[in-house]
Amino acid sequence: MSIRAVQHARDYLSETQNDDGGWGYKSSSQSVTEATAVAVIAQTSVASRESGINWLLRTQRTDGSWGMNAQDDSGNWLTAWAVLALLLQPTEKTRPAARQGLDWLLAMGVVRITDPTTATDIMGTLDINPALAGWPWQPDEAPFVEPTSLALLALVAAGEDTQPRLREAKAYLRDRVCRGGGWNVGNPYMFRKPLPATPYSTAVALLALRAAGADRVDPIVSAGITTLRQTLLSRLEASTLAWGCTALRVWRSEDESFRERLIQMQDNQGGWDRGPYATASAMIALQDTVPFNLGRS
Amino acid sequence: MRLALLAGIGGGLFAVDRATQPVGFLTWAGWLARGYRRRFLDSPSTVAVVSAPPDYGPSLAACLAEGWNLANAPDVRGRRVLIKPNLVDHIAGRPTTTDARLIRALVLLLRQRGAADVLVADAPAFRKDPLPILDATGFAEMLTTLNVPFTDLNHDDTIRQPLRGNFMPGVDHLHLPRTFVEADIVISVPKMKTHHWAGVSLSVKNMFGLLPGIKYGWPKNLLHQKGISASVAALYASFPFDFAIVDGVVGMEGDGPLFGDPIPTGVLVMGRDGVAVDAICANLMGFAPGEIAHISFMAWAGLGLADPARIDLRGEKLSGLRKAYAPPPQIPLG
Repeated sequence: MSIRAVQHARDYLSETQNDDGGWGYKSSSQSVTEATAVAVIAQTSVASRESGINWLLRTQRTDGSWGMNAQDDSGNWLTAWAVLALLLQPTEKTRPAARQGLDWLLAMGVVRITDPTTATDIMGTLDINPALAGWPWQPDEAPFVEPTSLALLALVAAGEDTQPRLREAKAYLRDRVCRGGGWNVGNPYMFRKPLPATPYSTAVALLALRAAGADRVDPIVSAGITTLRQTLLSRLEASTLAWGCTALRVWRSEDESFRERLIQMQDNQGGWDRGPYATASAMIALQDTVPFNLGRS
Repeated sequence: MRLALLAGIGGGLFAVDRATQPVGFLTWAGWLARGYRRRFLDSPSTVAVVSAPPDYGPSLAACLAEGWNLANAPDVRGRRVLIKPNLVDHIAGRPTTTDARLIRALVLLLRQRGAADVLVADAPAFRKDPLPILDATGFAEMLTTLNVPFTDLNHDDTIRQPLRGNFMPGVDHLHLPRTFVEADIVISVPKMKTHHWAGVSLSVKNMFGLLPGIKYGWPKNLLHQKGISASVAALYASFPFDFAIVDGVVGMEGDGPLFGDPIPTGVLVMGRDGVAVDAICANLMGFAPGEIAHISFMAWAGLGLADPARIDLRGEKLSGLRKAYAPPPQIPLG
């Protein structure tokens, strides 16, 4: 069933690829880095993938970063997605571009609060350790869970496991766990009141921790998996459900009912949620191979 | 003597310029001049205040229509109208979002008044996936029933738009959602609530939800880093909405914008001038507009009126509707 769904989705992605080689969040919307990178990772047809890679190479900024789309005038968190896509398709063209992107990510500025008074205030208000920094959405801003997780995935995929920043990112993710387990954007508390975990943030954080070598018996991981299962029960966009399924598979905690639900959401054209991004995300979730080289034990 | 005079003038200008950093004297003087013109030369702003059923019951539609007429709302005939509610996040038991029943009544009113196209759009601040918010708040069912599209502005196509007024030094443009840029008429429909950083979150603060997450993240970190007053003023000066309707039927007091408590207030407040609408709302919530930094700053800079004497208030008297909202806790940062 899933093989047929994936093949149908591959055709859909070929049909919805923009003339410039990229993909948008929705069919016929402007090409964006995230959708294009995810489509490349999702093993689209060879020709489509080649065009997607070329779009990524063309839209890389001279400083090595990527913005949200070709019109963006500054690099940001999406650099991690582009780097991941290029690292997973290693060629003579993609390697130097990925390296440049990695260097930009490693140098990406982030707000780190070290002043003791301010740090104490923030700890009292938000219950987080503001001296710990992961990665921000945009340079020189505060760190958040999703950009940190993606940067971590990219660094591990590049074999940069010993980077000090990677170790700190792992500590950052552990610090930002919501009460009861799982993650949200990166604010587990607001004035000491707990904010709920959300499925997408939990999924990407779990993927990142798997990449970084965390263990299944780690209480933060097991609580995250439990929370992810609970939050996936809500009605969700296909992309969220897909990343949830992928994270569960990577941690060998697959749930066939979630996969079945995802397959049921595929439309007659072969897509999910009328868009390439959701479709590529679903393909990754339903394929036999585990993404980001996370299949190793 | 002449040299001393010149040196004195030069020194004075230098001191003024230093005192008005980071924007500089010319920008500061421009805001000041516009503020004087707006307060003393331009015509008053009209704001309508109407009572509304505390349970968002059937008479809500008539109340909304009454306010719409009183407030000289824009002519929507043949226009593409974007409704921007506040869908910041859903916290069970907390009135964090604009009520779906008000949006329903507004959609029907707009259609009745001849709008060619009505859509609802927002970029939730804390969630990448808006569906759980739409489901939990009743928006999903309402939008489906009325066949109204919802646009997730976090993932929309974007268009680079220049900022006016130099309110956010160092930022001269933003990338905004195409759906917003291409709408003919934009209506800001926030919840009446307190906010721990902004004091209150009403029609002008509601426009934080325009910024796409794919560029600015979840929540919109750039705006918080640049400061609430500066960011709200920059957004309103550059991309003013056409009309505001504040959902004060059940407001939120205390620990807003997420963990505050419901406070039945039974009121809708509307008008074209977002600053005036918000100043009246702050008054209804028991706050002086001067207590709310971004409202007083925007009024001072001429982006709208906050002085009740310069606001043409229509509908109900404020005294009969005013509630003492518990103020939000203040974040002790920096």
